[in-house]
Amino acid sequence: MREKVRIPAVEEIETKDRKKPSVAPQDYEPFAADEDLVPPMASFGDGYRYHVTGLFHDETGFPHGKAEDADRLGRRLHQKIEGNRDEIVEYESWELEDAEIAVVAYGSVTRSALTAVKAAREEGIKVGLLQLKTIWPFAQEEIKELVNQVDKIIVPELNLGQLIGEVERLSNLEEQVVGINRIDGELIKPATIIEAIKEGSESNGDFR
Amino acid sequence: MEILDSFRTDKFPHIWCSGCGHGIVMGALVRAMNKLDLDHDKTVIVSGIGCSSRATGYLNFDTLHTTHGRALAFATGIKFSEPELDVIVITGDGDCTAIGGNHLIHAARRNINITTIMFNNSIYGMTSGQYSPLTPQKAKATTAPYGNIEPNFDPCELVQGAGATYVARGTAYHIKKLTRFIKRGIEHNGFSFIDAVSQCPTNFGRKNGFKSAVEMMQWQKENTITIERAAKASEKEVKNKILVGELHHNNRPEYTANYEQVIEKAQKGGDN
Repeated sequence: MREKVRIPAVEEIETKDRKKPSVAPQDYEPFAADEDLVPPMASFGDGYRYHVTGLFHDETGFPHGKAEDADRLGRRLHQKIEGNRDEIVEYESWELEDAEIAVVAYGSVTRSALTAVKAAREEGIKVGLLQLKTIWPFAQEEIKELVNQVDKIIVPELNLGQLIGEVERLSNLEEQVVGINRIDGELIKPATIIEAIKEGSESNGDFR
Repeated sequence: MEILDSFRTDKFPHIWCSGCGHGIVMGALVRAMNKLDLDHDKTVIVSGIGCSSRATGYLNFDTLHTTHGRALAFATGIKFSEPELDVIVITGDGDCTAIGGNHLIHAARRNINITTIMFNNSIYGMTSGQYSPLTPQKAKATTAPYGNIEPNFDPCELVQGAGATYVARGTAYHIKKLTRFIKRGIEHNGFSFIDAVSQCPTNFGRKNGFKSAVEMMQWQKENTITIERAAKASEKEVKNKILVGELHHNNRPEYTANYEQVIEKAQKGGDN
């Protein structure tokens, strides 16, 4: 299984440089964040001579073994992600506008899911695909919309059910979300997903 | 340059136990850097995890205290992106040869211009004395109460075999030699490795019949032989002794310099 990768030209790529400190080295606190929760960061060699550690640390960058430092740091990092979810969450969707059935896929199963959705569309079944490209922060808003729109959501996974739990907790309808799970080392075939799609559309609301 | 300028004195006292050899080794590093008059703003010191690796917190440079075993991986990234910086790695025997064993051999193979100082106390001291790949066979550890059955690496032979171009061994006892080897390691253009034998009275000494740190340094004196002396000594004299000295020194192309050539070639749009 091979396919092409397109590498964009240099001029198509936007470079964003990290914020640099404007204070004098002796006043520099490398982990004191601005309002956007991102601290300005000097490069090594800039003359700021600061310390970076994997241990929990305070704004100066040094560890002191204090629980409140750990709590403050952990919450800032968490909030930095959660507060920017719209910029971080990435997904792609196909044929979801009028869909009554949706497939939610993450990773390599997307290939089979897309083939299945296209084939089912050709047979006139109103099915679409939501491919998640990021897993955290979770695409909660998009999944909520889907839950309100479609009758059935199929989650194919090469495990015994991980992503499905995240989708299920946003669904209020019993049996709205169904999984296809495979752990025998083989891939989930489009035919298996088509079968699951048809099960829903043919039985007209009775999902199983 | 004042020697104290190299320290973040407000971070003292350090975490090391009384009698620990790590302060002596850190002192040797600072004296070596001082002799070379390294630009403090252009020197980066990177460490892993463990007692030894806490040294970066006390040194007044750009310092990076990384994850366990990965000091050389981070240091490679720093050197690769800013080759003009002097990059020094502080690591322990467990950090360097167990968790970071792969990073060690590949840094040596690439001959990247990084100086690695391995604070070698033959034990995982911070976590109370589990045996490491450098704990001598038959020595006792919390995880080897009947004596260690595993043969230890000779770390100097290991990195030499992997391609390091400057390899030396000193001890906390041989402090002047150690300082000199570190200095030469930093001066050397290529991958330098200095095995700095250190003592852990708390978690190695107590389990292995040493009554004090002084006894352990006495052991370092009596159980080592300089490479110059070993060349003239009888086989019996050298047997079971640990070699101290510059064990290996040669020159071959350095990694970041080779990479620089690739960048130039690619930017000219030349054939690959």
